[in-house]
Amino acid sequence: MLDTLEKLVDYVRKLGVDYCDARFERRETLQISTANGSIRAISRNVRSGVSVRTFLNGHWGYASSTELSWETLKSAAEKAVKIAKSFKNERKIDLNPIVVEKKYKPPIKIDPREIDLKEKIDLLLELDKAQRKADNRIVNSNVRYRELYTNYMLVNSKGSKIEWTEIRIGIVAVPVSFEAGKMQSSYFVKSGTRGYELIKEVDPNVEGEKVAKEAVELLSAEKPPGGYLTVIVDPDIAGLLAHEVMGHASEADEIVKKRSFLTGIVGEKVGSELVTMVDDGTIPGAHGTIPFDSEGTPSSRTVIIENGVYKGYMHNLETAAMMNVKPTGNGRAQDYNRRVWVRMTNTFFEKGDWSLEEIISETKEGLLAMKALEGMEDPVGGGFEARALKGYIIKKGERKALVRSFTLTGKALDILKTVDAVSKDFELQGGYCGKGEEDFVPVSTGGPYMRAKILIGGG
Amino acid sequence: MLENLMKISVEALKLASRQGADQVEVFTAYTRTRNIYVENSVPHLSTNNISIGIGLKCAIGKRVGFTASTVFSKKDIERVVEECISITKVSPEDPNFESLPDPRKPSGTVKNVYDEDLIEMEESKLLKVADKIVKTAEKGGKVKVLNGLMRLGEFTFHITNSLGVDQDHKGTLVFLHFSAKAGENGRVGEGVEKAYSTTLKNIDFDKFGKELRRKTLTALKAELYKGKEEMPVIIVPVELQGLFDSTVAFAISGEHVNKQRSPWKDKLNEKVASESLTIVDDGRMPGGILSALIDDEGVPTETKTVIERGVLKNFIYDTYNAYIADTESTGNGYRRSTRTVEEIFMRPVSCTVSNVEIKPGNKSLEDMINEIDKGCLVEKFAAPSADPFTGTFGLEVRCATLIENGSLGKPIRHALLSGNFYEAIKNILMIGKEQELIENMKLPPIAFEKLELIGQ
Repeated sequence: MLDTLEKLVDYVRKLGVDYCDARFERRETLQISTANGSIRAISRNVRSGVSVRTFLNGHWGYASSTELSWETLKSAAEKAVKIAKSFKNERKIDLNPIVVEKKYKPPIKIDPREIDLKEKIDLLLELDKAQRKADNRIVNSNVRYRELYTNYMLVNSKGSKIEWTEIRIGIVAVPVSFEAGKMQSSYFVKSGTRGYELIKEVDPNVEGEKVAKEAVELLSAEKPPGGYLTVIVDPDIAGLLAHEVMGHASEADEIVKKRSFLTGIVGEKVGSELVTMVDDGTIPGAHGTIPFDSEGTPSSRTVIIENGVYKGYMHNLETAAMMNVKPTGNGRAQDYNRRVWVRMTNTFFEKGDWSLEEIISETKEGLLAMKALEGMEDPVGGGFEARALKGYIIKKGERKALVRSFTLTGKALDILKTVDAVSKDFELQGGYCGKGEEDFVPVSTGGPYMRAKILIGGG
Repeated sequence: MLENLMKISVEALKLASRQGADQVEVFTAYTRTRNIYVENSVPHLSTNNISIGIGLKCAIGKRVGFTASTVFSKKDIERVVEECISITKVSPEDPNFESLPDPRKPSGTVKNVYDEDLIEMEESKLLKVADKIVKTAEKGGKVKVLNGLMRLGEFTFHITNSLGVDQDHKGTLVFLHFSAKAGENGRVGEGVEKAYSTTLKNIDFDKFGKELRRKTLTALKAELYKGKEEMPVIIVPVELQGLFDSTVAFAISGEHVNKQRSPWKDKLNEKVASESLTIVDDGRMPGGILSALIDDEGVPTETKTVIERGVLKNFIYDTYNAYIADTESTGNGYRRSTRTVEEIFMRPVSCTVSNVEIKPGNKSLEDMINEIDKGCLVEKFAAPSADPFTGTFGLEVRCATLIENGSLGKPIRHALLSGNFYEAIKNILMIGKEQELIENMKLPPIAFEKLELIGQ
């Protein structure tokens, strides 16, 4: 296939474009889900396709096909050129990719495809059963398992020729509890760019019982307080703040069109000195780690905020050329039939030197917010919105009553300026991130426990 | 194209049966998706994507497996069948699996689901349409369209099974999602406009551009909300859809009822909402995004009242969940989604709503505003949804307008709207008469009696 891609790029180059690349992807997915102690679905998917991208006078034409004959690919390439030629408004942009010739295989210990399906099913059913065994108020137990093996090949008109593989694996458990008309749920999740060794680290009985008890405890949780409070966010919710607001607004495509509230802010103080934030696509095993982005640029570490001072943006080929900097390896596409955007990889706040216990003991009155449910980007307004599954009231330096789900909101920069304690505990959580409500790519988010002033409501 | 799909289906069905499957279901589809992306006021990137593929379900006794794949050659079909059989053989028995659907011949017609003009439209014309939206929104200054997506999808699918189901359907889809920014004296506001349709002619592009402009300028004027108050709140269709989809659509799904996790699992024929609320699940809604004579299992679709004057009348079922509940499928087994037709063959069937209609009331939005002394009209949340199990929500209001003495007053932002959606629909103040199609729901604006608005 690499030879076909070379031939295709050669062919397109001769049709008169400024830049072109061709990318092949083959994605093999195994998904297994259980519900209430039995297997709900087992599915195996394979998707193969080629994307041809052409760049002419500052605009892009893409075409993709799942049919991989030379004639079909040639016609897709011609279509991509035709599209690129149909744009008006010429712009002068010289793309300057880092030229790479490499083959890369991820350093995993156990290839999940070599593990017997039965072994996987047994483990999932054990995790499912452990949830219901933990308490008879668990009325519904669910487990989802996913392994994804993706083979990429990319050739571009500047001379890059790359072949690489990404392996991702993940497991999720969701128990639902019910009592006296009230229903609650919780979740356990573990995922990464690792092999089956990640799953072997999960003790299904321990994790199943733990997450089930959490769902049951929430049945008697109190209504959360509302208002502008001192809040300690856990690594999960800190990660949402890093990713949804500061991260999305630091994607350089939002900067070049001045959509982001962080446009032109490099060098300015945006948070307290305890705040350092990074996007790093090279962290071994993390869910958002990629050897190359979808344009063939090697992934890298981008410091976005350092000790409260804003440092810089994440780039793809186009924004790097427009801002005259090196691409950072953040040009990512959901798959071969979607566009490349500037996207994050692993985005997080760096850890500090407090312990969680110290932060709690030095908080007179406040709320400990735990486990993120959802969050939403706001690159224009810089607003933060996240929903926490649960929390604990803090009074006189002690963790008190458990409270149920609530929403955290406010202006991100106002929140970051009030950060006055950052823990040495640090966690990354894997997930999928959309842009403009779609185009999902694997990422991770995280950080330490952080204390700040945040508006709470929606309990 | 249908002929090619049928050849793949027949081949897969034959191979899977020969390799020992007791029951086989084959879903094959061709999809073409074109996306025009606008950036910084000009169309900047355009794509043309074609896919052909298969979704295969096999059953051996009570063991069931599913595989899906893009299909390029006969070898792909052989690999898919081989993998599906091997998965099925090692799957534990599913005591709930009874059978794939029996053939039922659909009768009647379905209107406005296929647009020949959309399929024929050249790239250069599409770019002009996108450009027109931008120019309309920007006319008069201050507003700049920074992002826009115009998506055109076309698809043909064939569904067959070893019990004799043999159906096909073709459709088209248009999805628009544009956002614009306005700035003045260091303040900024963003407006978002979306449109969903099965045909191009049903979209008024001029109105779309003007609405984008109006929403952006309203957002620019929005002030931070201060205070904390319970008040009547009107929510417009585009923001209301997510709230209904995350709660009511969840609660009426036979799958969630069977799994004992629907909060309405024991509430059939009981009052779950205000008397003014009637909701219909209509697999044949003219111009509905998911409309077809059959669902994605080949079962004829139906029009059924789910909530009638506040009383829960029906749950919805696909074949698998209908067997568990000892009832018949209501034609609610879907693989298709509402924003794209891409690779619909990859997903196994799930039990979800088809097209949902929330019946209109008799008041215009203006009348509704006039009847509220002190309240709020919400036009943009960060992401509208509520907890499906409990109904609770706390949504960041990105743009709303306060209502004072029956008139629109100050626009506000950065507030939280908090409440419980299952409770809110029991306390409906008014339902508007102007419905809009948002994803697979046709719904009017609704005024809720009392929700809590919290500011900084």
